[in-house]
Amino acid sequence: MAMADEITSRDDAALDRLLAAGRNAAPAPGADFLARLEADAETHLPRPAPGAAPRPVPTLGHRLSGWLTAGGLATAAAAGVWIGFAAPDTLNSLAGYGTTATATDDGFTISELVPTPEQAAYGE
Amino acid sequence: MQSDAQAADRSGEAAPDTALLVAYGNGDAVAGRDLVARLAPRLYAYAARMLRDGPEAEDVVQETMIRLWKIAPEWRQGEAKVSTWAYRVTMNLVTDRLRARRPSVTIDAVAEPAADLADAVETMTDVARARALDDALAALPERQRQAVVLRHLEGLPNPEIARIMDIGVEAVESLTARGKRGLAAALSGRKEELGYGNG
Repeated sequence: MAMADEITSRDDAALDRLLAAGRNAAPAPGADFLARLEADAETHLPRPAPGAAPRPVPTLGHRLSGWLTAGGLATAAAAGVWIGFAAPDTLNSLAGYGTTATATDDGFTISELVPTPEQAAYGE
Repeated sequence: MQSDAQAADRSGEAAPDTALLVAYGNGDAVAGRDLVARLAPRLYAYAARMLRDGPEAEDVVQETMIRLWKIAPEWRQGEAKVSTWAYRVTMNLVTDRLRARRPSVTIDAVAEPAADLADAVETMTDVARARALDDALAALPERQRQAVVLRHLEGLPNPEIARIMDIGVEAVESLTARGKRGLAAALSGRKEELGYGNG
């Protein structure tokens, strides 16, 4: 497989002319094909990662929802306190017991601890 | 040789392509279109010369560009020259397709070998010269053809061809020299002397 003779300068010049003709006749891509490549580039264009996205400006609804939640919790707490005071009397009534049950060692009766209707109305 | 490679890395063309790719990776659509305009015609010319089939060349270039888009977000400045990377991917895809084909063109298929190359070329039109060159290129062994196309038709410097082909610069010089001798042989009918035989 020994390579034989070197190219003569005359052949070399002829080859250069062929190569020059080849450079001038370079295959060129069509416009449609280039448009397809551009569409591919658009399709694969990286989008910003979610963590890097700017935080959305809070809407009025978002701002109010926090206060509404807190207000709801406060209302539930107040209702719980009121029920805590009012329930023994109600439960006793439902259970058929009298309302004069003796209280604890302090000597108070339950009726003394339960707010009167006027007191309950005062808080509303 | 090292200085040649370094000089190639410092050439003015590398930075803009890299900057465009990084910009594309950051979501710049215009940078993507600019890269298509810069790279696609060169990659297509290379692929079409190697494959001698326009639609196949389009498929190869499209696949190369899609791979480029996918790698863009991870691309870092100074990592590599974008065109070198793209040529290399294209070359590998071309090689896969050539190897999947049955040999369709042998050196015997070269049109009208002339007794004297210089005399024959002298009488040809430019169109005929380009066609004769195309036929002769097709008859070269694949690696020689790659080197000749990249060096003498695409005009790339030897250090860049070395990086694309993953070989040394001396090996590129050897391949291009043998490739030119092969072209001359194919065109002048001296193929037997140079050992290419019948396929």
